[in-house]
Amino acid sequence: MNLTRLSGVKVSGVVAALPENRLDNREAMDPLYGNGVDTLIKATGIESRCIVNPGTTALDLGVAAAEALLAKTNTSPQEIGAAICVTFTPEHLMPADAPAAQDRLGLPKEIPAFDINMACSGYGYGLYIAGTLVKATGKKVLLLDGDVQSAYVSPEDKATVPVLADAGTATLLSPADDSPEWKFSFLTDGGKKDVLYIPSGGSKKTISAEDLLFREYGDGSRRRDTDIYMDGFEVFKFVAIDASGFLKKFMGECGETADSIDVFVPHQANIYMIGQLAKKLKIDKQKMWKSGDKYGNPGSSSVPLTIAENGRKWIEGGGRTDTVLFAGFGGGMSVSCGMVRLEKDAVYEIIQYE
Amino acid sequence: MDEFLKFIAGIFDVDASALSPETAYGTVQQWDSLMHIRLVGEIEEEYGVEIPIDEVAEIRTLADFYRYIGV
Repeated sequence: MNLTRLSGVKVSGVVAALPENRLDNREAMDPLYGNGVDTLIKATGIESRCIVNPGTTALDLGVAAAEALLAKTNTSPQEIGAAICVTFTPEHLMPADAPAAQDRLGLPKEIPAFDINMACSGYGYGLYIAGTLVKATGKKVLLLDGDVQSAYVSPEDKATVPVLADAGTATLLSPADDSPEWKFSFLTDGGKKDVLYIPSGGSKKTISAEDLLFREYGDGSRRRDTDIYMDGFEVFKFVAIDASGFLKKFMGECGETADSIDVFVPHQANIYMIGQLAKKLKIDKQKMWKSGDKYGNPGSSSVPLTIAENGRKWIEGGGRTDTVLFAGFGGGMSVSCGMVRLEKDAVYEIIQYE
Repeated sequence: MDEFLKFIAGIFDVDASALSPETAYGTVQQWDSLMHIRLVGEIEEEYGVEIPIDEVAEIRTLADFYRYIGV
């Protein structure tokens, strides 16, 4: 296993911005599921989901989160040495979101600003690359992670609409000589790329009129070729076998065990599924942070959203955050995981985007 | 097996007569990937058994599930 190590970096804060609407999943899924809606809620563990008003973007949410984060950490935009946006739902295919974030946040012009497109495993990539930029520049780095998946979800697709959601987050990384070593590892299996993807809209298949027609599938779902397609069973297999085995190995390589870690922050794919994943890894349920039950699965931003949701409460309740295992997994197929410390005095907060 | 099918029918919210040991993933509308994960949890809880997560994806039929409850 390739373990990458990084030291001299700390998290100064994580702020998440929730979109305008919080849907009761029972009510929202009633037209699609009818009598089966209770079963659905039990199977997903997702009671409500956050969704934007049409036209609100991941960048809007990320910028709002970043503004709050800079204010709460007393950070001037001029202190930022690089900006990264982790998203697969940018405002435009070109240019990337990060340059627009530089402008809207008033960050210096002479900084690298770029996007990372890695779907649900994106946060680990973002944190690792942002951390290396902190080391390289000696400056603070702003990491925006968000997705507005509702723009690419068919309202009648049973595999995606009951779980997928929207959110935007901002994480501030700072140089810190006394910070413990962070460890990361990544797993990639591009042979499974068609398990979770958007068929149309890229250069391989630009959008035609036909792609915009709803087609009916075996389970009664209807979707367009411009919508997210997910083979739920194959994704489950990937998480249950590939991701869980990889995480187990990662903990071992880090010299940690289910008992020694303080917190587990999994991607909030589906609450039922991550509960099973924690069980497989023998991690005590109490140590697993959640947010998906309230906010749904907002892609890669689910990890920072979960940190923003739980961090402050956990620390004030006396919980330790010295050894935090986080994991993202999904489209690619891909897994990113890390073992980091979350600082006690950092900002962890959720704001409402309006 | 009859008791087991009744238990599953309750989760699917269908009549037990609609199910058999050969009933498989994808052959009834309720049994999609989300339901598959839930079935694992429900069966583990009801019968006090453990179905290893890496074997879950190999399970295709109700008979496959039945093997785990060891009756």
